[in-house]
Amino acid sequence: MSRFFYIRMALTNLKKNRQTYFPYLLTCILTICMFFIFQVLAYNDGLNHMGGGKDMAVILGTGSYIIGIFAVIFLYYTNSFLIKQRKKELGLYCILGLEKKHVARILAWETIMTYLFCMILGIISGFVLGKLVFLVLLKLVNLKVSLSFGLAPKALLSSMTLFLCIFGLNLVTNIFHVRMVNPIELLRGGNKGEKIPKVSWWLALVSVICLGSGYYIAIVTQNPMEAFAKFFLAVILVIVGTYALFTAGSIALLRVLKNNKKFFYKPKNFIAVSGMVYRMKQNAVGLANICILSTMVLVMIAGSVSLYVSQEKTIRYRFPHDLQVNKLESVEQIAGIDRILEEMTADSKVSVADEFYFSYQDIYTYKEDGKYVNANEGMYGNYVTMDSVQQSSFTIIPLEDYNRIEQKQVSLMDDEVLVFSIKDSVKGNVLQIGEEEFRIQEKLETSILGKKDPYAIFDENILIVKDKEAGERICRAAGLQPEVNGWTLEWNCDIDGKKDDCVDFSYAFVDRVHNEISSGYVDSMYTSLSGWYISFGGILFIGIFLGILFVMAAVLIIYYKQVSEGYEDHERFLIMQKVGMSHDEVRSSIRKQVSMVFFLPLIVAVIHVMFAFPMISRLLVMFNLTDIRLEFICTCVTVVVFALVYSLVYMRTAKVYYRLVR
Amino acid sequence: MSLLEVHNLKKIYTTRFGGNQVQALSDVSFTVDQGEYVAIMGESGSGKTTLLNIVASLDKATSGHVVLDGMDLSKIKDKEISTFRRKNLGFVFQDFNLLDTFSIQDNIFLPLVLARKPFEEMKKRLDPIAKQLGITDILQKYPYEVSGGQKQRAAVARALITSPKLILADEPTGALDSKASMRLLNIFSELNQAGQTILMVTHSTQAASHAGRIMFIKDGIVFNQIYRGSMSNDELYSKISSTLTVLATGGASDE
Repeated sequence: MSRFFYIRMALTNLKKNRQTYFPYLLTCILTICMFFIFQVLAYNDGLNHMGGGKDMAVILGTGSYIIGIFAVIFLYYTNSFLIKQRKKELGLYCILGLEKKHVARILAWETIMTYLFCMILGIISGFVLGKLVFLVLLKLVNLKVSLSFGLAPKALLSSMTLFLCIFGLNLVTNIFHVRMVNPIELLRGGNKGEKIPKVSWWLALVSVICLGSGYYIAIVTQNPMEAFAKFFLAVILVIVGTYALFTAGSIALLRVLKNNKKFFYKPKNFIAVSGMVYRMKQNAVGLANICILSTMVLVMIAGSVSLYVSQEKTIRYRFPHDLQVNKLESVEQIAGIDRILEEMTADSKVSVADEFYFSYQDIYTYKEDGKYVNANEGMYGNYVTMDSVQQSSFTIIPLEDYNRIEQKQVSLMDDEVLVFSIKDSVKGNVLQIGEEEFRIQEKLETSILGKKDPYAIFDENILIVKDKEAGERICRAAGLQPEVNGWTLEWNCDIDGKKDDCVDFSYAFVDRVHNEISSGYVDSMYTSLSGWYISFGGILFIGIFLGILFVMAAVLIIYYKQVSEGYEDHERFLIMQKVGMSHDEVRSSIRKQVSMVFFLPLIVAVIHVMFAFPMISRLLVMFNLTDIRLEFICTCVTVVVFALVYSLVYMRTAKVYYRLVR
Repeated sequence: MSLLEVHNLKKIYTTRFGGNQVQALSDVSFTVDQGEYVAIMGESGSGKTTLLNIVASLDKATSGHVVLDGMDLSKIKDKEISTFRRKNLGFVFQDFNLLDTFSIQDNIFLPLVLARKPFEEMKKRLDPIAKQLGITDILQKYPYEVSGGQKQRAAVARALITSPKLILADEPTGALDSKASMRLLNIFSELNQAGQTILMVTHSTQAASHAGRIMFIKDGIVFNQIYRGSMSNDELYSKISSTLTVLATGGASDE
């Protein structure tokens, strides 16, 4: 036999099986395309050389790993479905006299051809789409830099290798399949009836326990850091619970339905319920897959959209004022800053408002038996650890500065303080620090110094004390040497004007302060914006892309389910028509069966998202996002949009199914 | 009184683009009386299954009429044809046509469920039939768990449960071993003696020898008929055999 024989066979096979192969090829192409785009972006030299671009590259690199892992699992799963569908055909070849090694050779040619086909189309579409995606990404992360989307050889190589491995793995599986079974079995294929399985109460219990504890963790965990640590535990519990629920739960449900004679012996229910029972196990896993993918899509997109939409607000939280200089040593430096500001505003459209400064000292304490103690290690910057979350920090400010800033005439005794607690965490009228007690004269409700936020990650408090001596007494009580930390000054101010002007102004200001003032850290909201856009835009970008990928996977699973069941059910509905079932009855019973099967995962996914919501919003607190109403709206919109897409897919595939059955 | 009248039935199959025409039935006329047991014999391709499908209203004739109990099948609207079929006809197929998704009992119930009968009534109807056919023990099993003979008896039960006017059987013994065939044929005879009208298509001489009348179809027409009269099954068997021999050797118009 000539080699061309195998090639020809392989080609005809692909053509003959196009109804099932076309979606598979499309998935391969899209997966390759996405992986390639992410790889190119991650390896982009321009991105690496620009400020904040490194983070972006890391985010994109992680994204491409996720796509890679997903591609392996998903394409393997789809392939095993395809080869099951083709068992009969392969069995026929064996009977017609092809040896198994010949069949293996045909399969190998098929794989080579599909690999080349998908790779070429995937890379081309990746290249074309990539340019577009690149523009979208730059827009999302607010970068005006012009970068080119090049054909990175590294990205090309890694894509080709990864998918070569995946296709190779699939080929080996297929050949193994062919080797393991004899032709008769191959001919008969996979359609042996499934007995209605016994209700596994054990499994039902597992599903209840897993889902219950997953939900419980999601609802109960209050602390954002804890939420982060337990998030994956909850996810795993819910995934296991979902599989168990669909396996045990669907069996139990159908049993109950079947035993209810009044319900069961109605024409539509009779056919729908029996059809579902027949494919119970297969259905359960497929539905659980669809449900989990849907949940992932919903959580991911809702989360990243919330983050992106609220980013300006979030930045506000981090920077209560537009310009800030802290750790200043002397009032002369403040005068220096004022001078710079005056000079700059003279020839700028930007105006200055709310300028103020104060001296302060920070202490960090743990709460123990109602006392604040042991403030050894300071917390600098944004390093978030379990430790720092349990700390309570106090910013001590002398009354003199407070009265000046707020234009008030408050007076305090030596052991009296005013408290402004961001999370309202200070209870009672007495503040006990170490072994000393301070009377709280007033708990302030509002202050220019900060904003209250019950969902804040850190327990931050501001203490107004009579004078610096009183402040130092507090430091000593907490176990600190006040001389080590010392008093420093913080200067804040807001600016008004067009956004672009403000950005330019801020950059210039930061530059000048940095050069002209000998100490102090200068920072501004506008100069930090670009970094934030990069992180949030990057997260949204990946969220949306992975979302699309998972939606695609769910769609494909739905499609394959419909197609395979359509082929199987064709015979069945023919018989029913012979026994006296009309076309309309067939149609309506199909609709019932299909819709029962397909809307179940969506409903469960929405329930999952409902329970996940509190946990997600607590996780988002880590990004300083605390607007629950906004998160809720974003989640609702995501759910509605997803449900629409899902229904659309359902309608399309139901049509395919009906065409096959008829 | 005749239950089924078939007048000048003609069926021409045309390929999709009107190219070739194949004449399956040229001109078939016969009647079946109430309580009769008629077997239709003929070689493969003689048109007997086409005839049965038309009588079953599964297929439409090119010309001619089928009248069942005074009703012309071609006058029934498409929407009502399924209901008509369900009420008046019972089917037994060569390959059983039981549904794997249903237990034996639910398979038998299928036509009644479609007719929206309550469960109690279905059960009441099933019990005596199941007893008569000896399938009471397997009612809760699934088709893939029982033997071919049991499957076919279940299919007979499904055909009987609507108390149809006419039972149509298409090669009912075709997929059965001899023992199971005998058992099925005896059941058919019993049913017929109880008054059930049966029309059976077969090419098994043994199956046909149980019938009261045998019609031979060849080249799309009723070629010959044999009445049982007072003959025993064995006598009828040899009569059928010799007729078939004549049919195969001498009677062909184109040989």
